[in-house]
Amino acid sequence: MKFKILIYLFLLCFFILPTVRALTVSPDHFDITVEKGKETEITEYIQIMNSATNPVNVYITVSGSISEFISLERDEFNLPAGPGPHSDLPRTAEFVKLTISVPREVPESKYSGEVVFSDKPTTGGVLGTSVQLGVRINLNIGTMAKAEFPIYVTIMIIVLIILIILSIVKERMRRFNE
Amino acid sequence: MSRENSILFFIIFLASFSIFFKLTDFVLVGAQLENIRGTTANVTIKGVLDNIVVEEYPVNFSFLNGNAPGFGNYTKQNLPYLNISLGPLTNVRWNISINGTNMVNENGNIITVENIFFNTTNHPDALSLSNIHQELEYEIEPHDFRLIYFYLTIPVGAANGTYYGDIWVYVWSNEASEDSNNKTWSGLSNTTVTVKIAIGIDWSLKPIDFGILNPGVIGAKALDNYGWPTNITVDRNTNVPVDLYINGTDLVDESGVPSIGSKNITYYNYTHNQYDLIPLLSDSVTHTLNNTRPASSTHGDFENWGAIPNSTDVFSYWNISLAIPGLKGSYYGNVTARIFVAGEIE
Repeated sequence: MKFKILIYLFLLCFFILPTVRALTVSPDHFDITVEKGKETEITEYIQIMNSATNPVNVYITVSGSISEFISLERDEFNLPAGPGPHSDLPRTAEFVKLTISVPREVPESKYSGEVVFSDKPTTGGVLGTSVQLGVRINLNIGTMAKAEFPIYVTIMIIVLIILIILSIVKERMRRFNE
Repeated sequence: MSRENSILFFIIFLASFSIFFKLTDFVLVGAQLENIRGTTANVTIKGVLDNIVVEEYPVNFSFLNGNAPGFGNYTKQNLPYLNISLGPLTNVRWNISINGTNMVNENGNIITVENIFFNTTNHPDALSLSNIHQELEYEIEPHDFRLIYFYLTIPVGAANGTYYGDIWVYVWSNEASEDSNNKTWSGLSNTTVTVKIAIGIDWSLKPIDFGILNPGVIGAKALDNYGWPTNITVDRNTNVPVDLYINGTDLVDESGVPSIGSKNITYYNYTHNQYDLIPLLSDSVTHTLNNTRPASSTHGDFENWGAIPNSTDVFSYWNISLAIPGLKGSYYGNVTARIFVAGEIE
């Protein structure tokens, strides 16, 4: 039995590299307010950094009611090796572009959820370990957007009103002369 | 020869030779005449440095809503440079130097001036800005200009907030008169950056392992350094206190069938906090591994897993109990560690 355990430990040490994953994400949340009744598209960037001396594969998922409005430019990427968790040198980083598209018609006034960054669990033991970092997103649908017409529509309306007034005056004058 | 004929002859003589004269000769004659009259126009124009003209300021490094700490090569936003020239009265060649101050945020946190880099070539080889003047370029033509490009490294773990610093551009000339041979442009609160909240976690890539166990075992310890303990560290780049949580899956057998519930696995904590004089802290509480994190909590999984500062090592010790009949073979699951800004799950 002891011999079996020794072989097991030897294999464990041989096959599993004792390295570290060291991920940082920034910012921790976004609070976004958009006008109700107005189609809106907002772009934000999340920065994720690696300080470990080995590259890390990062997976992105979106959860919560916010997910129907969010699109990501990618859902997986590789972060190059960093300078080491104890180093003062800058980390390697990737910027993840996040687009939040809110349609004109939305039934609720508040949506929330998070963008979650994970690495792949380790293998080789009973419990694989992984880390997660999340960025919360709170979306508030604010007050009704004011109707804004293009300038040419406004000018056309003014001209139309003037023409109507002129025609009324002209008609009155004609009747008066008769 | 009569006097009239002599004059006529002299005029004809001069006219004949006039084809050999040049315009400058006449000017010379005129000048000599003026000299004779004592009316010399003697004008001396002194060398002047006009005021410094700076365009494309301030030096703002904030990308959208702000930047993460622990990252370098942030460039000045809008255009990556300041455009430096001199006013139209300048008639001498000039030299340029630059200096700046630390950037400070509303809470007095500092990004030192050495983290700002600059050059005139938009090339990664840049000089570090300093409190004292650094000479950048010499003998620039009077009406020429220089673009100074800026880059910023935000130190690892820099506190969040908006930082401001000053920058000065200094111009001088050895060709200018003493009363106008140097000029200074003061860009007070002109360097700025907003640092966002960042949270980070380090965990060894070693799995948690219990080795080969007998069926029915209770409270078996994990293997040394493979869960006895395992060390999670709040990354140095984290700039706010965080709460730490762990959750995990049930263990499945080799065919993927869930066979051992996560609640058969327990863990407890011993936290070594670099920032306290107390070397070891323990809640003396054992937690079972849950599939989900708590919906609300005033701290992390344990009381001392809340509001953890950066660079703190958090140790946990793992056990498994297998009081389940019929187990034989290999079983696997996953555990996930996650940090939140302290108090975020309430």
